[in-house]
Amino acid sequence: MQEPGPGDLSQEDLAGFADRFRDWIAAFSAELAPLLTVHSDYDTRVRDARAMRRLLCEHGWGRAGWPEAVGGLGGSILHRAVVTEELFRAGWTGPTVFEHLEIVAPTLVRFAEPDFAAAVLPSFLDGSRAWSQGFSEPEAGSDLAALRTRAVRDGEDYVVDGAKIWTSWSKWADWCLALVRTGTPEERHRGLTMIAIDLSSPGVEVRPIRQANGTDELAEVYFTDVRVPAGQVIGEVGRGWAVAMFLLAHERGTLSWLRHCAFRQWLTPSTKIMREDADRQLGDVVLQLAGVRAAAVELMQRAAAGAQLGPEAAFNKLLMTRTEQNLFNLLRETDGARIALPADTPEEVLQQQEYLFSRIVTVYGGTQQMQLITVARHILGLHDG
Amino acid sequence: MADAVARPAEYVGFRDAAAAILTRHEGAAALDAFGFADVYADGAHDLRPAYAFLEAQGFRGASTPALGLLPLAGALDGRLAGAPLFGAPFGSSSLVAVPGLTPGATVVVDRPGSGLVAVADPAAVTRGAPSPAADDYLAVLDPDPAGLVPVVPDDEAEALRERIVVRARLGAAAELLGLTDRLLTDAATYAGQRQQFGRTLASYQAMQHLLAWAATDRHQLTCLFDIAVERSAAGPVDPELARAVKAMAGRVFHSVAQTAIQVTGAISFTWEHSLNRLHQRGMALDQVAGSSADLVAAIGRQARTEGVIPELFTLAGSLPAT
Repeated sequence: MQEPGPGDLSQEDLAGFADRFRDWIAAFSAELAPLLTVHSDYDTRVRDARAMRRLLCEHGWGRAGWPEAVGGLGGSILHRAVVTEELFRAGWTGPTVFEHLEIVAPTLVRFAEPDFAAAVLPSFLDGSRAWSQGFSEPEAGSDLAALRTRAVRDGEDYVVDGAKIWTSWSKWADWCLALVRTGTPEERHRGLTMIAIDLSSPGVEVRPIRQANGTDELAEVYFTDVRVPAGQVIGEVGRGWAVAMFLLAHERGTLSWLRHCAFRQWLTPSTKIMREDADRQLGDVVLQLAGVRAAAVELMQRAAAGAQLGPEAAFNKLLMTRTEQNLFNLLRETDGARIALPADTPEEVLQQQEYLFSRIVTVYGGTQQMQLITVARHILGLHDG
Repeated sequence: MADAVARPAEYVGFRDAAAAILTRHEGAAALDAFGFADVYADGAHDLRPAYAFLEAQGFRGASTPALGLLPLAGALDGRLAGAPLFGAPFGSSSLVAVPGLTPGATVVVDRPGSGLVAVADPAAVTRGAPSPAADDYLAVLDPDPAGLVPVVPDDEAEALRERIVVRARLGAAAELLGLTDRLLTDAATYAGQRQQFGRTLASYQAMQHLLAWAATDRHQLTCLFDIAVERSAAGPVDPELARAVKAMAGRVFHSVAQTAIQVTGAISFTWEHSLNRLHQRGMALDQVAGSSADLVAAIGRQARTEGVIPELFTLAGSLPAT
């Protein structure tokens, strides 16, 4: 029997693409089984995520939805979304460090020098190299335009000095897409530039942060006289803010599709132990999930049509994080003892990790308050003064 | 009506055309000007213009029989003269609500076990509203079983029930979306004009956050509603999707109404303020064809007993109608 492949990547055949991928999952169930096994240890999870990317790319599915110029097969974000959803349906627990694919890779496709994008993205797609993003600093959180990490031109390179914090997955990352200051502090967001830094460069130190949920997904990253080729500037010098906004629109928007797939996986088994008196609370969470799903589809359809995502991605972030917290509130109220003191099984440990992580989701990627201000000012047109 | 993001262009065209008509015409005249009956004439199944009309009607706070006509349109095969109005279940009682009821109109209700039946004398069983009424759009009937006239036998009605309920729920959701949009628009406008302590209300972060949450809720309703309506152009809408849309419409309406009241302040708690009538209309529409409270509980019950979190629509199936 011929192996099911991605085939036609036109939007009109999206349903056919989904059918073919489901057939492939069924045909390769033996190869997939170890990669769908639940682990709470992050080293193991990242290892399996790399292997999943490699397997998907070897068979074409991991390249579907990406431009041919960077090693893809064509198609759109909708094809990537199909792959994500079907993997979760098959029991996947998520892409770990490769959740940045949907955040960093579109940014590189849009803003990087074509040669640089063509050089680095194939290894990102196939899982051999991973990326992180360096935005926040000890003195620049919500006020991102106050960041201090500097990049100074020196011949063919930029020399980077400074520190980033809360950089997700950088313990396992090979690259960091960093927002740095090339202008003066007084220029605020107009003096910023986005640059891709190889984390194996001399002068880079990654210090993982042990988090409240026991994992070390986040880290501090220190840069001391790190030389970065000027060809690794992403976008224009001094226009890094626009690149950052593009990236954040993806983090806030398209990531909500991936996360909502995970939410469904969390909620489904818990319905078995719920009682009748939880019906209304469960119904509300199911309805909120439907809202996240619908809003994510709306955003992805616009992205697939070539639209530039903007401040409206704040809607997706607000909906996604509110739903995540309400979902885990429901799980806590249904089975709080298991979340408070999990047994030593990967599923229970992972559930506690995710519960605790859900408490902070209204902080990362732009706080809930910043998202509300974005909606108020840029969509509703409400202003100070 | 300012959409936060681009909505399906064809739908928006119908909606804005209806909104313009509703500024000049009322009741049946507005339906005629829009060509409402043409939407479902000759078995046409693309009901997007009808839902667009109802959203515009909600935004304008206008009253027409559109929501009563839609569920039964094309269903009765000429068994009744004229265009009967559907009396949709109201709340969890045996009461029914008829939108835009006019003297002489025929009202049909669904009575499982008996089938689709006509109310012999709607005026005689219409509950009297307190005077003055904030809004007379919905007439609530308490049909006397003895005064019901068979129209479609129960075995034949079974085949029609799903589509009747789907249309009633999506139609009511369309109106609730329009009402929600109007309340949010008016509240944001008010916040930009009203001053306290020498500044506009809109300049206070507390007010910005309230209105931003309202806009966020309105956005998710719009997205889910648009998916359902676009699907309606291609064929029958999944009843579970229609139920979710109606449930969300009610939930979002109440949330946005509360925000609008908070932002507008005490003036909103006066009989004359426009918000009062729109609020009371939305409260009533939430009770039509399944309240949000009952539908949410039903959604949760089904998820719990079946152990399945419904997806409601597929990615491919959510693409805009072509």
